[in-house]
Amino acid sequence: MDFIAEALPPMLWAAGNTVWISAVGIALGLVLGVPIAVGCEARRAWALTYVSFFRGVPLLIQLMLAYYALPFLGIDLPAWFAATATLGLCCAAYMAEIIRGGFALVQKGGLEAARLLGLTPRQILLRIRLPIALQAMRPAVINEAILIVKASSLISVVGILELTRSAQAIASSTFEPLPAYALCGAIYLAMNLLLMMFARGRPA
Amino acid sequence: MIQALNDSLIAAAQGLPMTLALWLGGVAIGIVAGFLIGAVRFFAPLALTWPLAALVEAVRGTPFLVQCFLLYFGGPFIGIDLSPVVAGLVALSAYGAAYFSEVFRAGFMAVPKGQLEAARMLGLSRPQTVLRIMLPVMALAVLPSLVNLAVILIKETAVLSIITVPELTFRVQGVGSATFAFAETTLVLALVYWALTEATSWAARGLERRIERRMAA
Amino acid sequence: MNPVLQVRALERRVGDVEILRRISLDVMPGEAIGVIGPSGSGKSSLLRCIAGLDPISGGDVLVEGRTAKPGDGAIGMVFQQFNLWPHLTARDNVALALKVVRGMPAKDADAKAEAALTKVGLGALGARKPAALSGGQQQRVAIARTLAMEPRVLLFDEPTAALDPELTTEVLDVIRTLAASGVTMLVVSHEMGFVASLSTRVVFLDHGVVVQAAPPGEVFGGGGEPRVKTFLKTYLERVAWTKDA
Repeated sequence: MDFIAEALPPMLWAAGNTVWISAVGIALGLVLGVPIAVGCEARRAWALTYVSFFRGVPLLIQLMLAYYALPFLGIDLPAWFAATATLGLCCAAYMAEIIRGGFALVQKGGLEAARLLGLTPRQILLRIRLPIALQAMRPAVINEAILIVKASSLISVVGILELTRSAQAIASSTFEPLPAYALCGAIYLAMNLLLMMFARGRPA
Repeated sequence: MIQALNDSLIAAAQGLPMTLALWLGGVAIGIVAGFLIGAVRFFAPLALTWPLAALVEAVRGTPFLVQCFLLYFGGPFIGIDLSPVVAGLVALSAYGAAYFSEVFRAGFMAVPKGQLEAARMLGLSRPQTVLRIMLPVMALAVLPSLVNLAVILIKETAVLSIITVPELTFRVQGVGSATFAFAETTLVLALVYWALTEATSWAARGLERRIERRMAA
Repeated sequence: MNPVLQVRALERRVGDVEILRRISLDVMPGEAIGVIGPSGSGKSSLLRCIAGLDPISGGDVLVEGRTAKPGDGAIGMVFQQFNLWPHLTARDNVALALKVVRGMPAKDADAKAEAALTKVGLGALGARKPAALSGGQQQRVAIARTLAMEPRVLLFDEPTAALDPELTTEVLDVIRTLAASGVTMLVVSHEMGFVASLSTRVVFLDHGVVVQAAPPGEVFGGGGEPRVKTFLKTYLERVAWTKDA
């Protein structure tokens, strides 16, 4: 009990960082995911390579690339920025696949009807395809959000203070890694259960 | 720079066998354990299976890195004192088992009810129905998901470097620490993993196509 | 002659809903009973209760005087969705139960399966998996699979409802041939012309009650029951509309 009283406040504070880093990552992923999904559908090489790279390379290595290789190229970004951006770029590759799956569910007839009514391709994308696809994608997007919250723990490796990093710090300062990591896991679990409830709570 | 790349490649070649062994071991144990968990959760009454369900959700709801830390650093406090390699294999297997179990459970649920009713009408016993109808039908349905998960597990092996398992990432990072050529070593790592996941995905697609062809013959 | 199938005061309730209300029916050997009626009238439920797939709330189902259980070989069923096992070839679909239920040696079972497939006109396609067969062919394999077990009574639950119109004929022809060769059967179908020409008796079901059970001439001839007449009129307007009608 003493341990929880001592460790919980700093961990919850750090969990706040996890939440906003994940939120930015997911938002970035959703926004970037749309053009990438469109690019993939058109079989554009850049889009296919993007998805293949960010899905094929472990996120840990991607983070290390942003942390080590960018400065090497003369691009010096704050660590938290590089890490959050990497999370978002990686998320975008997965979101693109989800959006593509959502697009596939939109029936061709509806699009042809829109075209015959004179909607421009842009209007068709924004007013017909995306809304229908988003509706169908919601469970997959929530699922991806949960994966991103979990994946954000890897950001601890490049020294950013989020939930996992705070658990590490507490584990080494108190010499009680077992309760520290158990508590840390419980907080992640609670966050993800909340996300899942959000997925189920609202009717589609 | 050439030197650093060269050293990284050598370290990668040295670390690759460990990565592949952990991956194959984790996938094999994960599939067997996941199948058992999925089968118990499907066939046993809910009252008996909820602890198993809670365990699966706990593993699926927490980061793999935290699980590794819990097992490797927390384990010794409750008498589970594992070497990095063993801890890594256990963690990877458990993580895989939780996800595989969900795939198998979904597979069992997806076997069309009518196909089981047909078996019942023809007089097949329950064990015969499970063995000769449910399992093969389920196996075909879940195969793509199993392969997909296996590819995801390759990437998770990189996380094991953080608990000092001497696999691909750990070895190549070692070169980085010794030479400070972090950019080159990380680039080599990225390319090696990329090649690895692309190769397995490619092999998986080939396998899927072959099975589809056989099913449509 | 004793009835081969006796349905006595059969009842099925799910919660408060009465799906079948005290249905009684005797089927003589060699009879082909056509079961018709509006959607939700309980036609499929009746077959599933006779087969033992759905639990009954009252009454009994006897085959040759004994209570039938699913799988005892007395009753065979052909489903709307074929329900072939996708991992087995057509021949293995037919032979599996012969081997593992009847304990037949593999060679004999395969030969018998081959014969059953030939009977439904698919002797050449035994090595194909279901996915490589058309819907009509799949349903014929399903019929062969049931036939090979030599049940006393065959139940057909809307056997052509999942098929494209042009594929129904081959399945209906197989069923017709079986009926002509003396196989006792109950057929639920919306193909009225087929039911009229096939059946020795037609049972009209509505809200879980047998409204009329009579030779097809009487049921389709326009005599009697107003509910039956309304049903048939609606049906005819749909499938055979003419300007004068």
